[in-house]
Amino acid sequence: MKMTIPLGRYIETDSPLHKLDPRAKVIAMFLYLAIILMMSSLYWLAITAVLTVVVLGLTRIPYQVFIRSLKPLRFLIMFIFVFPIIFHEHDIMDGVVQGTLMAGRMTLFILFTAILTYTTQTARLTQGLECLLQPFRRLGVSPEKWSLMINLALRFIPTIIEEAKVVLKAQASRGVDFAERSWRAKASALIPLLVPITVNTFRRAQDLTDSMEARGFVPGMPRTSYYELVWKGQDTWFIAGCSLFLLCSLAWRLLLPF
Amino acid sequence: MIECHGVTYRSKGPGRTILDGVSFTIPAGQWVSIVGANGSGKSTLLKLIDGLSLPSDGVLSMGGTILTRDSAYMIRRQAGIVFQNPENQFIGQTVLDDIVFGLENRALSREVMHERLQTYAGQLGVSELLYRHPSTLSGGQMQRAALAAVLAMEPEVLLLDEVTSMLDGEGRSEILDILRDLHATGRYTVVAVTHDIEEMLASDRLLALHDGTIVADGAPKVVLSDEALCRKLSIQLPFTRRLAIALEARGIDVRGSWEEKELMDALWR
Amino acid sequence: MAIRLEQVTYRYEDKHARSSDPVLRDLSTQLEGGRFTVICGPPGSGKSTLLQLLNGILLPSEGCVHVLDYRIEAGQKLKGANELRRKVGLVFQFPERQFFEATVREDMMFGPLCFGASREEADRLAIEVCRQLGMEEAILDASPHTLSGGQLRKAAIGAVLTADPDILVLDEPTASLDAASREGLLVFLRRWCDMEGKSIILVTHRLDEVLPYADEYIVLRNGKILFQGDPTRLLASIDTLEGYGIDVPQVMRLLVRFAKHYGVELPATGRTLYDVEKIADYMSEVLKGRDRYEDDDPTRSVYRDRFATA
Repeated sequence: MKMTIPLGRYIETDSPLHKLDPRAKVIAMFLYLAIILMMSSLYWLAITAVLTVVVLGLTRIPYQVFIRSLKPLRFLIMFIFVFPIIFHEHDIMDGVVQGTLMAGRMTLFILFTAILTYTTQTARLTQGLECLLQPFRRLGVSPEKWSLMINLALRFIPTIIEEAKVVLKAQASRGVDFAERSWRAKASALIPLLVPITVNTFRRAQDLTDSMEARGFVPGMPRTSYYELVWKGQDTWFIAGCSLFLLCSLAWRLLLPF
Repeated sequence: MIECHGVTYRSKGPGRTILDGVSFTIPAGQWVSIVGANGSGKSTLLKLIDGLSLPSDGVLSMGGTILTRDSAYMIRRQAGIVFQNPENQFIGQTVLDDIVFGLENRALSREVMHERLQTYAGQLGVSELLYRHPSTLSGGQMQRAALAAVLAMEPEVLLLDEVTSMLDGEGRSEILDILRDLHATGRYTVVAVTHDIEEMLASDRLLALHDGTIVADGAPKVVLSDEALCRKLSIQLPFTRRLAIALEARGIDVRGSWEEKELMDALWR
Repeated sequence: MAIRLEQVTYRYEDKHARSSDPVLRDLSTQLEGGRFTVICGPPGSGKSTLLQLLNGILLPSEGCVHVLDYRIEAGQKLKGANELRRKVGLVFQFPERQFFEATVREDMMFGPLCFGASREEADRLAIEVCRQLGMEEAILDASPHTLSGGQLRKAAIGAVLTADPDILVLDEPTASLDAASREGLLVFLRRWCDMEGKSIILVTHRLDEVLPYADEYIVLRNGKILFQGDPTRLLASIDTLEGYGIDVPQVMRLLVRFAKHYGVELPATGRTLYDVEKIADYMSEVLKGRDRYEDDDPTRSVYRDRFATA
């Protein structure tokens, strides 16, 4: 039975964020990252959080979906919150502030990534990334190779996960006890899992290259693209807005004491 | 359309001769089944025809172009190949991405791509599946998508490597029906490596390989009538044919029938 | 030595769907030990899921599975899971994909070693199973990558057999093999089943292949049992099954219609019926009998008497 793909699932709604050019969203991602990293004030955290929630609302995707995206990392977030409280530098309040800041940053980052992946098809994201990497050609970066690598990985990760589940079940049926206590046993229990997956992946790679060559793929040769990325006015506004927010962040950080 | 003269292929490494002096000519529009036991060189032959490998000896040509290192690219443009494992040839993250992959490689315009996409996805019945990730598709659906991707490049030759062997009964009959339709259009030369008797019987000609050489070449029913040959090639005839042969041996006239209906008609007095 | 399912329901747990349709619905059945049981049905009918419930790899969402002396109950931890897996050997589809050792011998020894056998014992078992499968001992020292399709499949099944299970469960064991390998494998499985205390449960979509070997058939559809019975019952039910869209093998259709048309009985209804030469003997006798006595009173035909219906 085929399962749904949990990884970076694209959710189709008719929201303004869906209509943005993927390049704009990728650039916004980096700007947002800068904003988060520079944050050192709880007030600014609150303001950023409110704005992020507004953007979340704009996606027309229910809030529960975003909360669910935080679930897998909830223990990490809690740990990040608690750690500075226990190992505080000056006093416990300082620890709480630090904890809240770091946990807050983590949460916001996860949420923004979720916005990105829920509103953009992964193939379009890589297409956008490929486009943005073009200027780095001079530095020896090959945007096409990176794009191909990421696309193939995204194509095969669900398949490999399904295969791994079967191998896991098959080896468990043969007596491999994955619930074994000792670390050495746990490590050796990995071999019956990893070897078949690796071998199958290599074999798959051979078949894939045959298939790609047969369909006329030659690395480096010019290709066209079925999807066209069109930069529109709304994209410029979006980036402008993010950049403005970044400047404000910087200003706050430098000028305000809190 | 396809010509093979004295083609020999030796594998690197242990230096085993996989194909030895294979020669045949396939006219345009013919549907040829390549049969034989596993390890007889069938898949290798197919890959050579497509220019994915070069022969150690002999000459291969397609549409008049002789296969060399430089002309391999041209040969691959004339042919489309579909492999056995549907999972390992699916490149795109969606069916649509996979179908347009070959077209993008050819640097075709968006309009042409869109037109071909609609035509061939429709023909192969995958229009509803265009936005699906391959891990949500059945084997049969993936093979149909693979065929659509190949047909969209509008090749003259279709090379199929055991495309139904990993599918279940439903998937297999879907593909077989499609092959029959494609053959009927007369636009394609089909060379299919297969184990499936139904597929063999639907084709025009059987080329049997054994240990790297051609041991039989002719109409499917004629070639398959040789019981000793079938055993050598590890082919088992369908039940109705075996029964017909056994009845004939006992003096019952079955009018040379192969199909269930034919046999019933012959037996019902 | 039996298997019993009591109102077993199975649902896949999908984190993103609130509830998913059950793959198996309220399934109850019983399987006798020592038999060769075939499970078939359209794709998605729950066949593979059912197999995985038999050795505790999957736990039922509702209901209880009794296998040998073990109880696999919904919502409870399975006690003795490892022992169960030794006694119920599960062979997945394309089992050769699970090879991970350098030689066939090492892989075949892996199972017994996991279950606590010594290296000498495991080696002995590997040689024994290799012999049973009709393969040369030289194969044991070969790397799995050098084997042909049929040998590879046998070796992979052998790797499960070395643990000496009482029940062997196989998911489409003949998939992708050529005709000779398929027949060889099924003949071996029947022979193994005939050994004292062994049972086989096999999933296939090719009913025609298993007709000479199976003692019992279970047809699944949409997670429920559509049909369960021996070859005689199967033969009697082909019209019903065809009505449900099940692919009935040509040989069965032909035989049933032939017997009906000529008003004769079949020479057998069990699995021994499915031999081409025997069927040809039977059919030619009926036809010749008819020809010879066409003008005479058919009730006086010696041949007719042999197969006449009451």
